[in-house]
Amino acid sequence: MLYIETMKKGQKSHFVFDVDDTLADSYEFNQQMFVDTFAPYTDLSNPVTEKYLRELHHNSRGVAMALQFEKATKHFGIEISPSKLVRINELLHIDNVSKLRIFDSAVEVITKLKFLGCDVSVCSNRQLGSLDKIIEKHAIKGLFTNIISCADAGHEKPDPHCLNMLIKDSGKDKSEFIYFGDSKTDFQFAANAGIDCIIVDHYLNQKKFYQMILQSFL
Amino acid sequence: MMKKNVIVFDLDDTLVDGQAFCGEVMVRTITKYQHDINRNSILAHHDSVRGRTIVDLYESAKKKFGLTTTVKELVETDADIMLRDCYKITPFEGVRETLKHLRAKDKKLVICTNRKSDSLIAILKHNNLLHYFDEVISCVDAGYEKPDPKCLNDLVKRSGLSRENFLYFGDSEKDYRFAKNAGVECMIFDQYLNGGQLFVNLNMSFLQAN
Repeated sequence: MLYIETMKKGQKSHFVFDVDDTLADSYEFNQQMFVDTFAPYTDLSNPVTEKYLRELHHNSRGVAMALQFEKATKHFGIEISPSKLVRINELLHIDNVSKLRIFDSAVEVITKLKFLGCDVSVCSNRQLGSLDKIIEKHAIKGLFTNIISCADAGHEKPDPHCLNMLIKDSGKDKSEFIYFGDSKTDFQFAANAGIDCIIVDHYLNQKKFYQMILQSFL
Repeated sequence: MMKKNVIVFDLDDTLVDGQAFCGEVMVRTITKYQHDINRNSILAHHDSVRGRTIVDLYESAKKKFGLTTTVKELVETDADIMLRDCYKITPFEGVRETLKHLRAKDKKLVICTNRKSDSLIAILKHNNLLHYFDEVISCVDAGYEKPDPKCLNDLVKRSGLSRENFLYFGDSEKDYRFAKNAGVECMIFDQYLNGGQLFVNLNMSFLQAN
């Protein structure tokens, strides 16, 4: 608690994390779930089809799932609503959540921040069903002050609504918040809410960002 | 878990905001010889070849814009302008505070960059940053440009410490390869995607914490 009692202006006391590709090593997992969502509607044994879906997913970092599905259905000429595909995709995520892992040392960093008296929350475009499952699987629910699905709230990032509500409910000043994400959407999300952020490409950092923070800064 | 005791930094686009200035120098260099080339095209080209050496940069510009001047001449002109005006390059916000905190935590700090020594030292002196560093290494002047790991390997050897004690801090895939080739762990950040506030935010999030 010493940290909080001696805080300097601008020092962060509430850390808000994105989930996918920020806390969770989910790039390959999410891409596979994205491809598998189309299994009943396309011929995935055709390498061209699979390649298209993987490239679409890769190039849509930070883009809402419904928009990605909409693009693919138009491309294939499939008559199915993107919102239905979002639901199918979410069920696949829930069924396969055991395959998803948290980046090394992320839990240790969060635990250390909690020990220092900070609040830690998650705020993600992932739906609450699979988000809860991930948190439950890794037994980390107790570490978070708030677990927010912007998708379920009806205000997907970069709409700052959820972050604004979180700040308002906390009673803290905006300058005490920091958002951790991985994409331009995340940067925009934080900027729209008027808070600082750190944007990290965890894959370019060999998935060792949290380990390096522990070894170098904390 | 072993603590990192030696933090090695890249300079341009990591500690100092060189992108706009270096683009401007390229415009001045190229238009000195060919006035009719569009300034925005040169700036766009400069930004598209980020992380490459100055020679690579002018070789590709020569090809793209059909320049008749030799690469050697272009590089020399660039170096002259750079040295004369490098006082315009300033550190990103929060760099000084971060270096200060790291020093206070007994970290050894080093710069290892592809920038030439003369402008490298001039930038650090002008911004009153030189005294934070134990060593300042120009890989270009040493004859082993990144991602050749020679300079980093030599640094590790000289220190008498194991590679696990080192962390390299950069902004590009070249930096990533440089560290990887030397077997040193790294942190790679895009300062511009972070609004140039990376060190302020790292400092306010983690360094002030203990």
